[in-house]
Amino acid sequence: MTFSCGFSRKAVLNFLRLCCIVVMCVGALSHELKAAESGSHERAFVRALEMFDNAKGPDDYQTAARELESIVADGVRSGAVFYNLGNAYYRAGEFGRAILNYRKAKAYRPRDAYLEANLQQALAAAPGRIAQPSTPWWKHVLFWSEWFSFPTKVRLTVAGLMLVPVLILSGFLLRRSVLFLVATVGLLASSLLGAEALLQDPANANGGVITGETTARKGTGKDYEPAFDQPLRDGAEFTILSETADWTFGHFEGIGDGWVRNEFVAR
Amino acid sequence: MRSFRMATLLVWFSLLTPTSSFAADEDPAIEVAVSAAEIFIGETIDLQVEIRNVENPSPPDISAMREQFDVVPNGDQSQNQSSTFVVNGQISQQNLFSHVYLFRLTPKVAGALTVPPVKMKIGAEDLSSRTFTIQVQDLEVQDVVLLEVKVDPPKIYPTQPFTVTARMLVRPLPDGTTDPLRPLRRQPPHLQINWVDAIPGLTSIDTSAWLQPLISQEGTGVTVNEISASTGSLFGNSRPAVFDVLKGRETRNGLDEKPVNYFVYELSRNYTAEKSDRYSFGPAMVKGHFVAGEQQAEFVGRRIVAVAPAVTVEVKEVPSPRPVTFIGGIGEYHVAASASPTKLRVGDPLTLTLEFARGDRAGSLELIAAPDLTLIPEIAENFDIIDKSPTGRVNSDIKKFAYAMRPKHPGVSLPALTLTTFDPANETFTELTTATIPLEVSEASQLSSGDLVGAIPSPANSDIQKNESGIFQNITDPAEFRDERLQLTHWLGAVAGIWCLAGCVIAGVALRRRKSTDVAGTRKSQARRSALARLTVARQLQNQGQTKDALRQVRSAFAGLVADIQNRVADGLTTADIFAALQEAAVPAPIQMETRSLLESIEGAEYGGSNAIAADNAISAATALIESVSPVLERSAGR
Repeated sequence: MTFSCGFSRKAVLNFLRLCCIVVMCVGALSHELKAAESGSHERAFVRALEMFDNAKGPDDYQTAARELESIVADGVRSGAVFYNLGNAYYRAGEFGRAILNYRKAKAYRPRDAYLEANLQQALAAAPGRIAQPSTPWWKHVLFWSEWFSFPTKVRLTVAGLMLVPVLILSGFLLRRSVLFLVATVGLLASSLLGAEALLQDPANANGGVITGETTARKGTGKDYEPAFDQPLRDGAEFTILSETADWTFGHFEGIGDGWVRNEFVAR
Repeated sequence: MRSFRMATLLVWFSLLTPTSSFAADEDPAIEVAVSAAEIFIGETIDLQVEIRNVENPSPPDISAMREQFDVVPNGDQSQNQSSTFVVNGQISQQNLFSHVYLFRLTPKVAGALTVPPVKMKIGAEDLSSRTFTIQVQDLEVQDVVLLEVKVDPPKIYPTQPFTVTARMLVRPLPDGTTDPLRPLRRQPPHLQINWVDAIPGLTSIDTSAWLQPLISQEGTGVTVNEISASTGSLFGNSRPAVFDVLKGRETRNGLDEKPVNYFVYELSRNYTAEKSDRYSFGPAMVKGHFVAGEQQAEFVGRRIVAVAPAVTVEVKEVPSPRPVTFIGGIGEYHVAASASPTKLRVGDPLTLTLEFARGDRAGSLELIAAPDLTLIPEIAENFDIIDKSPTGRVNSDIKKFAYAMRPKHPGVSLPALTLTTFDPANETFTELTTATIPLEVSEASQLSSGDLVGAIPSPANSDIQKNESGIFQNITDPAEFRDERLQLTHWLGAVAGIWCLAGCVIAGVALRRRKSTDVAGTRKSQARRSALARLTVARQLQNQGQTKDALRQVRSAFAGLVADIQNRVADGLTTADIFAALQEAAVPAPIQMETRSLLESIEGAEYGGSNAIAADNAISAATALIESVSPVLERSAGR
């Protein structure tokens, strides 16, 4: 069969196959990039586990946490590392850091019941816990997105964005309007998933107070008035609005906005 | 699928029954209709019972039919309608009540069967439908087509495969060698079987994967149920798919006791039973016109219906008594045990994972239940098992059970576990044994309450409650540690590349398509080449001594050149027209004059004037003139 544009069906199919191979090669390439540097980090991960198991007190747990932080410092992003980091900080009594790491881990392990239990435990134990922001409306619409981890969402988005032009091209070559419809739906779904992934990006994680007690102020200096009538304590979470070299401006749910010294917050 | 079939039936019945409107205030009535008035024994018909003018009727009483028919309900549907009319400000409402019940009837006997009335009680009123007659023809005793259903083996255990085969034997044509279905290609015989759709409890390959390889390209074979194939036409029509199921030959005695070397057609499907049960296959039916003889070198056809009775496969239970370590598995499984962590203190939580991998001849992993470890004395003595019957997690061909337990004493290890499965091939129980898992269990140090998740409650506390304090243990499996960094730049680059590539291809194809449909552009671009081709032909004619024809070609080369470039009709272009076109295109005057002179000489030679013009010279001059004229004409046409 020959199409009116002069391309044979075989040629069209070969072209589409080539597109698929390109997509798969890109996927494989990304996997190889990751696999290359995994050995030393795995050793550090196991070492941290041994330190945790042999820990006798908060200092030992902090040592285990430092080992895990060294993995994160190398740019590695792993749900297991963040989870164990949360556990180490929890045992070390640093609930603010524990909560932040559990939240980061959730992006990579959204369906881990133990992680959710530990996060709730850390929130309950944190002395500075404040009200949680209400669930935004779009979270209810995109409820299904909770099933996927952040990397999965990004991969699905990328796969969708790669598939859409192939579908459009196929629809154009084969003159099938249904493929345009599928491409439109795919583009919409990919865009929604991509937007949701961007909002959930662990790199945009919120901040948390990591010191026993600190005062949020109305400006970037200790001479400014306190922003709230009580000091903030370990585990208080907030949305970062802006930052300077020494201070972070955050929104504390149900309380208001205030500046906190950078040394007392983590993100 | 069921609702779709029902909708199809309702549409079908609506065509059969007269359309009428019936309002709620009219008297209740029962209308019945059947899908066919004449069938063969073994076939089924659909019966529609419509109850009108009753809002919520109860199902009709069809018990009287069961004497002559096997009756199976096939669903029901309300067709109530409510309409509101506003005429000159007056609002009126009309309610139409209709409820349709569908039944599938299979006659038990042949003959003219009178279908008794359907009865029901509406309030104090007894309603009944009309009676009608169905002709049920008995099967003809014949030896042209034989049909049978076979299962092999008829008795199995879960997980064992078995094959169901519909075998059709067809008497050969008079020549003895030609496939007897070949002459029936225009109307192949139809085979009706009841195992095309998935059967709950049995696994098999997908229907399309099963039947696709059997599709006959030549159209010789049988049609099966309502399976259709696309015709490939623009209108997306479909026709019944024809399957080539010819298997070979088999000799059997005919009705006259003489041996007949039948052609055998087999449609087989392999199944694997997941659970114990009985499964019925059939009855099967084949209908169609077959070749029953030959008269005066022409085949004589005969309509034949053959029915094969149903056969049953029995999937047996595992025999009893069963060993206490029997875990429910039937077939070949492999088991592996692992523990994490292996270095711990007394009272620390430990996860023992048992992994059951499915072998080649193994049954469903659903059959595998969590082994009761408390029955193993060494484990019960040395470990507290927190979750005695954990839920299994199936991942592909592996089922995992994770037991949370705590060592009671220092220095203990996990012993080898012996579990039992059933081997259906040998009908014996087979033991599976795991390896011993050495542990390093040291004495307990001080435990805080936060460390004790799921601790064993004291005997005084009768209600086990969840301990809300403490955190769950670390992720200890290094396999869970993965760098999930995203190479977004690579991926976005690839996305952009694919979009660009697709855009380029679409643009290129669109351009090519547009060019292929641009007749004027195509003519223009090929005008000079066409004119020179005509001159080549003229030269060949001149060499063959056909001077006049050669000169005609020279003239038509000029006329064609002008017509193609200006997208005009070449026939009828005179020398004056060509000259006018050259003038309009601002071709240099000497070339215009030279062209005109050449064309007039050619016309003169053709119509009996001077024959002095030499064809050789004319062709050479025309070649030069066309090379000069065509660029100017193209530029002019492009403006």
